[in-house]
Amino acid sequence: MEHAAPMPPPPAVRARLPALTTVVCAALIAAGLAAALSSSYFLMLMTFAAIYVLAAMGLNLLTGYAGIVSVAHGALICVGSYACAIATVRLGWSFWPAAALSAAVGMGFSALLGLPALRLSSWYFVLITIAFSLSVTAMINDLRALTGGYGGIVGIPPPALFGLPLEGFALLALVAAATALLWWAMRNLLHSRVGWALQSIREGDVRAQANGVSTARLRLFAFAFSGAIAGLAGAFFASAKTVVTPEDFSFDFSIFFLFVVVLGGGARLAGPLLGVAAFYVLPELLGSLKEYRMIAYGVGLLAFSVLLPEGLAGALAAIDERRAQRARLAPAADGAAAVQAQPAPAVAGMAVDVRELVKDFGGVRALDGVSVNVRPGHIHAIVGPNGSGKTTLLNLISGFYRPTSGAVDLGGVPAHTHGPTDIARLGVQRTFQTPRLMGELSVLDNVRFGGYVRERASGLELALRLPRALHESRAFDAEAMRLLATVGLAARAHERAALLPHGQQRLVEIARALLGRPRLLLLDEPAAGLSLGELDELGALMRAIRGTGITLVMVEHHIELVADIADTVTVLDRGRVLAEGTPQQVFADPAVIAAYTGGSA
Amino acid sequence: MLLEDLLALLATGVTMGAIYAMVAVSFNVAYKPTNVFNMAQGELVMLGAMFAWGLMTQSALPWLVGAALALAAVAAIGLFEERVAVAALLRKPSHHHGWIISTLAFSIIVLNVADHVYGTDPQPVPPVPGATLDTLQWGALTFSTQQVAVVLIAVASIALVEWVYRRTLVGKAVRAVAEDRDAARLNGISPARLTMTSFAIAAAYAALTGVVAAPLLLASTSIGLTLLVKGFMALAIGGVGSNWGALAAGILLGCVESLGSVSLTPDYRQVLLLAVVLLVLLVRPFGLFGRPGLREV
Repeated sequence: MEHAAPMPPPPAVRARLPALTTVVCAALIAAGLAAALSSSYFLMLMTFAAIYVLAAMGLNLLTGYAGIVSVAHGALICVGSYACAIATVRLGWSFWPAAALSAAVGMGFSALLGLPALRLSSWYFVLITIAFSLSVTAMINDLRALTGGYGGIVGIPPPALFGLPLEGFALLALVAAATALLWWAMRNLLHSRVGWALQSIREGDVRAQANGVSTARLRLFAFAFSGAIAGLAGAFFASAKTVVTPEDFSFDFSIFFLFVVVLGGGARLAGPLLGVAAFYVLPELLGSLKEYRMIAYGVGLLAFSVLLPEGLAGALAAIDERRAQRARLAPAADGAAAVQAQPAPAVAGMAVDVRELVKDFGGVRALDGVSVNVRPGHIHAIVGPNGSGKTTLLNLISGFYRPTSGAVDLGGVPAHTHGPTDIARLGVQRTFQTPRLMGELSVLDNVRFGGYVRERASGLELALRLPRALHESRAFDAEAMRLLATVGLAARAHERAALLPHGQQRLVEIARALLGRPRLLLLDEPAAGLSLGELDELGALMRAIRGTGITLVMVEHHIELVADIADTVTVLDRGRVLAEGTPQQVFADPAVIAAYTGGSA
Repeated sequence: MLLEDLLALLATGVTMGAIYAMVAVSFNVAYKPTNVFNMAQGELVMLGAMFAWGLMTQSALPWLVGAALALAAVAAIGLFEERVAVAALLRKPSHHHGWIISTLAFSIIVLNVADHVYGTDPQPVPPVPGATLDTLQWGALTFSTQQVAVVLIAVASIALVEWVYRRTLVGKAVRAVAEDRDAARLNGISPARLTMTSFAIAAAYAALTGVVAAPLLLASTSIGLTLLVKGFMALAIGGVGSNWGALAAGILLGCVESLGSVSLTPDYRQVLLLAVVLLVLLVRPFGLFGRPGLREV
């Protein structure tokens, strides 16, 4: 396994046709701009379309990427619009500070709304956002002194640049430029540890926490970000309309953005653009459908959510992928640079001291006074029949469970009071029985996500591609490639992770864990599903990992592998330690043999 | 404030609270075996009210016949929803929250079709047999017998739901499925059939809520969204899964809302209720009577 593997060039280097998504988006933008130049009606339509794309991109981060469904986006745009209108008309501010205020207000409301959602199931949040949307429209009618009641606020000025008011096409150009800038920044951010972490919390917190992601902070970020974008879009909306009234922000307006994001394709950058083109611009052009629009939207939303959850952008991407797979059959001749396989630099391994650990689930005692001691830099195996508490023990060490009683010390630090995120930050990485990779991302990106706790560049640096972010990104890419070479998968670095067989996904998980430079590595049945040849390679890999100083604790059924590489073994049976010692001692123990051959110990 | 006024407000609050609690219980019935929170439940209540208007006021059918037909029709719609919007998504674990969107979509369809069919005007619906909307004076307390009927029906129906869960085989099967879908299947319970049954019964219960609430609220297509939100609030404060908790929370909400009407416009009351819910959820994320850890990944 420790041989040099050829590094395939990233797909972008290969000369090939541009992606279908790119072509469609470019065509839509060009057609939109051309139409806007042709008549004032189209100019108006395209200006609002651009504002909606901007707003929907904010919601896409929250709903598409982080998986938190919100019906409050329209209401946040409403709040932003009124903030801008009040600041410019009532207080006489110019547009730019007013727009900044709009973004801040949108961000504040969104974060406030998000607070309860940090701990709760996502459907709570949907209903809270529905209640919020209804409250906002109601309040605007009521706060007449501030909002002008039903009459609204009239005379919002256009933005000005160097004293020149940006109206008509110039306003469209400004919104389009803002949208393009956001597109670029989001593209950078989403292809970084922040984006991977967001996508990783979408399908449960477990993987993200094991990687040291503070899920509450990340969710709060998603709320704040989408709220700020909504507020900013609201400022543009107010300026383009010059009048804001409560009627503009019906409940349907809030639902509309959910449509656009879900139908356009959640968690895809192009989704909002495609969504707005198909579900706003097109119906506007087909004006006669207006009366039945909400019914058609409802049916479309239902059909898409059941049949095509990836949305329009997902459908285009699927076509692209089929094409790319065909292209992959052709040999990639150019530039196969060699990548040096290298496990990791030397580290000081972490001692594990588990004392008298007890864990109850309801009335069932899964662990009953288990003590395990692992010396730094050793490979320790936990074996035992099914249901003996092995994985429970691993979950207790990595902080996913709190012990009923007993203690866990990791490297001399009491750890049993900490959650998984904190423990990951102590330098503990783990893999799962069922590999938890993000199937939509490339193998390389999955490994890169393992470096989450080590990367220092902030979200802002990542979004704007500032020097430190670029530098870090290159360094981590190279390190991830070396680790992939170590597990023998460098050649598949740019494939979608879901395409790999189960055994190889497990190896990718090990590479991901290693990128976190752990001092303790916990492996849950690493050998399950591997072929005989792969087993030998796994053994060699584990020795190499031990060679760097990392402490390895693994749950494993494969007795030969354990006997071959483990320094010490603990045998669990029905929640108790049956035997411990070197593999030779343990596997000669009559009680162990009895437990394994089905007799009672 | 006079004692009479205070008591009248409290009577309204308790009645509204009972209605909110019934909406919350209908959520619970559908939620229990599926962990799906049906976003269309409010519109199903609305359909119950509109059907009652059509059958009892327009077609002049006797109350019991009209109510039975309305419940049956809405139950069929609930079953249809389960088939098209929920069943397929429950089978796909990767999109395990897809039902949020699909049931929301279903509710949008129901609402907008109803708007086209019925228009948006509020319509009268006759009260429960034996009850009237006329106000009675009982010492300092003013109320109508329809209000009494709503509270009694709410309490009785919640008691019945609890009895079914605790005492009958079907109820125990639902609890088993809620606990562990796969283990229940191994014991010969069909989660799919139970899911369908629960959705149909939850829809019928929502329709019943609409039928008994409509004489007080008037039947209109706009009541669904309001009741969805209020029912959710009762559920969130009471704790998901707790039916008596929903009743207590519903009455609490109803009274806060009703007493708030003295000095606040309806719009401010809405904000006040939202603030109460957010506060409760911040302090006790699983409500006053709920228990944490309903589902871990």
